[in-house]
Amino acid sequence: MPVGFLTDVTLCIGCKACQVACKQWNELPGLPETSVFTGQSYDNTLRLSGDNWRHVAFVESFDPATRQGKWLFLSDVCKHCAVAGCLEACPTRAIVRTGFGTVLVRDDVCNGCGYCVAACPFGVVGRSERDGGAHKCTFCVDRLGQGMEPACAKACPTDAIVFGELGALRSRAEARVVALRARGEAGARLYGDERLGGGRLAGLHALFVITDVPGVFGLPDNPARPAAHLVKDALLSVTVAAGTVAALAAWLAGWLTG
Amino acid sequence: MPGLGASLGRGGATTYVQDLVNADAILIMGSNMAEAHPVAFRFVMQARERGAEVVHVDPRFTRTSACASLYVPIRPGTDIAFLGGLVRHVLEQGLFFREYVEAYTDAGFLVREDGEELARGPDGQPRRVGLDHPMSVLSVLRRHYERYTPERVSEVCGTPVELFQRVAATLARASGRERTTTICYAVGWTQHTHGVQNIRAAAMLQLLLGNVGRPGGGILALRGHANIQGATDLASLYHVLPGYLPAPREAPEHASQAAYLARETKRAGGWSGTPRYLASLLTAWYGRPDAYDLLPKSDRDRSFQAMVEAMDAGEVKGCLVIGQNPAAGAPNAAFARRALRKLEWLVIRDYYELETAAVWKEEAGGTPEECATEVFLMPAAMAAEKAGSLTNTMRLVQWHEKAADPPGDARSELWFLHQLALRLRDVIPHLCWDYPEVAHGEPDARAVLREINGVRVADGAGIESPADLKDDGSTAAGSWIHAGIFPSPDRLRAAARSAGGPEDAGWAWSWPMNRRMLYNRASVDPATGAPWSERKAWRGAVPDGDAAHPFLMLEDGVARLFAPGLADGPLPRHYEPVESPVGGNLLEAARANPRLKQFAAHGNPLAEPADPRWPFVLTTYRLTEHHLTGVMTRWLPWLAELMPELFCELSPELAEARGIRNGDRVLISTPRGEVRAKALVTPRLRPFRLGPRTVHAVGLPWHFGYAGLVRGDVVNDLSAMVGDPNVSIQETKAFVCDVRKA
Repeated sequence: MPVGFLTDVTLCIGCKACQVACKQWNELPGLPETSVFTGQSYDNTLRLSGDNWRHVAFVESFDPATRQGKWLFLSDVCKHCAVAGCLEACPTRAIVRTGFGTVLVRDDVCNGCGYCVAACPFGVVGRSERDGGAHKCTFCVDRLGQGMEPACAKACPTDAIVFGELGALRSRAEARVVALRARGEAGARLYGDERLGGGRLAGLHALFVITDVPGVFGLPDNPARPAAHLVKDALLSVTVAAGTVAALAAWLAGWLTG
Repeated sequence: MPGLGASLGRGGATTYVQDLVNADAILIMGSNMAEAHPVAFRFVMQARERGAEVVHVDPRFTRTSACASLYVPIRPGTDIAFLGGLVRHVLEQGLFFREYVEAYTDAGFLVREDGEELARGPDGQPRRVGLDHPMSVLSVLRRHYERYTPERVSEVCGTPVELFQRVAATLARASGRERTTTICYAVGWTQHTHGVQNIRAAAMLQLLLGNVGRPGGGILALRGHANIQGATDLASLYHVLPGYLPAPREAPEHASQAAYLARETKRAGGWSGTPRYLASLLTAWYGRPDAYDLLPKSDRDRSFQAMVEAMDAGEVKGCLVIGQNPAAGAPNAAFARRALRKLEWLVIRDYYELETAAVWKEEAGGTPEECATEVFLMPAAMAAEKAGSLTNTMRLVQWHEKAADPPGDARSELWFLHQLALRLRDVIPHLCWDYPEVAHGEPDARAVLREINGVRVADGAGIESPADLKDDGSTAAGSWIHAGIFPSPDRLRAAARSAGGPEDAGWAWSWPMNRRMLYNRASVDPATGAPWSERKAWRGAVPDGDAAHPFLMLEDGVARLFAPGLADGPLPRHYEPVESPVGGNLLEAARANPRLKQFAAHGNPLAEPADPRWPFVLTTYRLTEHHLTGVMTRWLPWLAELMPELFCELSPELAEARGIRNGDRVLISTPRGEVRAKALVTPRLRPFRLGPRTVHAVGLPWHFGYAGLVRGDVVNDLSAMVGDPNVSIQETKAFVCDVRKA
């Protein structure tokens, strides 16, 4: 059964319980000795990384004169793409797809090459200084195996993060978007269905209900997998090579005949 | 909580957090609920999803504002002006709930000529003259708030008139037979020199709108700390005995048990049982019902700030600190640290070497050589390492079992106090102290709760309700409000775990008598005996009061719009904070509360009104990421990394005026001290326009100190030792400062 997350910015209160629950369950380090005040609203961890598998972004979006606007919170996480750039890039097969449809980095196989870091269109995967290996959200695969929901969804006090069967979440998210638009949230939209990125990711297992264009929340408008360019790039290479050969041949012919 | 007690009869939240989903509007004011109570805020979000209007009135646009449907800015310390304006609006526009007000409040009672008390007949009964009598409570109220017009409110509070009017219209629309509004508040209302009257004003508004004792109505006092309600219920406050019996004073009216009872027993209502409650308490403590002479009597003000003052004066020799961190949390904390360093001995029970335990170190502000205090740090067990109960914000006592042994020498509070009491038998010779021990000298927490619940002395049978308590020594009970929590060995009701909703009262136990919604008899139309409306029918398990006495703790059986007995008057008035950039008072004759308390004449300088050296309003607050002075969070890496440094919030306008950029180091100063912080320049703060002038506000979270994994200056070094005249609470939500680039 493919599972997923639905993260709804209109229900998030920015409490960061998801970040802390994730670190607690997964025994990830807190790093107070290197953490500093960033001046980026209430966000001092700034991004997803090998040690931060959930990250709440704080966006202060106000008109400076009228003060009309919003303070937006988005709890970001690995998207567990149906066709995943990290998995395609991994040369050691450390990254696998689980029976739940999620994407998992196997710590005992990963050699820390970092190809997956560059291949992720969302900047999710990171190498940790703990062991040099690549790390990201495991979707709490150990909890799933025990019939428990992931720690972040469990901890969320307002059900802004919901765990469930992907198809059901998709329907729920679409209904939510309709309801939000009906009550005046004109920018409400679903992020993460199979149309995202021109279909190159085949949909995400982490769906988001957002209220503005993705870029406002730090999500890419048009994410792409490097591997999606392989055929085009290969054809281009062949074309360029052929052209070069032709030009060279023409020049050589000219030189010989000249 | 005398604000709620004086108005409604009991010093506790009138409802439970799950009931918020029944509200048509929720006014959050004096509270940053989403950040300080994120789990309870779940029910605010559910209410909003069901269509409720969520209004947040606050000096700063916080995470709570972000989730509200309407955010309304207000200058710190001007809440009574705002609420008084709402009361005026409701009265002038005739929007009050007439039948409710007539039946369930004192609105139609006659006020004495001098305006200080109700007129009463020889039998003590108030004189009922009807709402329209010129000296009825309602008429007095109407005249009292005549001046609180929207324009005046705007000029005092800095709230735009149209926003104020939107709040007024929203609350009025969401009140009445078919609709209800809940008000949520926290220390943003209490920590003022007029803190009690802030809450009084809210109670008046809710009573006029008919919102108390009804689903989706009421007043939720959000407590700042797990079990702070429980600590208050069982007399951690300086002026009460368990169950809110007034603490005896060295005064003629408290000279003997007879004198005390003559003074404190009320003619009617719940407090008419005072002799039974006191006798049962004395029997539990000393084995006889007439042991009043053994109770310590308070000689003078022994509130927290007064005790710090007495330490500084050398009158206090030793101090036991349990679950508190005064070196960082006390107002004028540098003064408190100087006072602590004058003690002979200081015992701290906590998890880590917090600021108070490190008060002898250099970073606390002196040298170890100068500090004569012998400091003992005793390791404390955490909640899961001991059995016991926690009483949450809605009076709900929840029992928990021990999950693991505490590490090393760490022990529970119960163990510590038990062992201390055993060793002090000679000092307190008459005290009954015979708790059985379960292991390692740990007393049985159940035996303690059983004593709190109360028993019949003759056969040890448990008390079922306060009505069972006697004044002849035949019953012993440690806290009359808890009667029924543990009536027999197999009924530890605080441990009840029914899966039903809160309305069936099957999860844990709340005082009094497991009532979840207090004053719920007021949910009924007295003319018909049926609910005011089907939509707002109360369907809970435990009724409270009767038709004539919906507010049964109060002498007259009805709620008080007019509340004599408070130090600063029966009706709330707008007063400026002690320190304010505003020199006068547009609404009242006195500038600041004339009855406010001042402490520490030396070492606690105050700014003059409108002192140009301290032009900005300073307000202190909490963040989700940290708790109080950070003892449970700054030592925890996962939380410490989220908010690693002290910062100062200020508006882009103020930042520009002072040449401060986002992230700059700044100095914030008051007459008491100076702290360093990093600037967070944010449009979430905005200047307040008071008529022609502009006032800027600065915000500082007060979580930091000189110990822990992440550290920062002690923000309470800036605050002042002043207090509310009724409860002595400090004023840390509104004082003045200067801010400049470091």
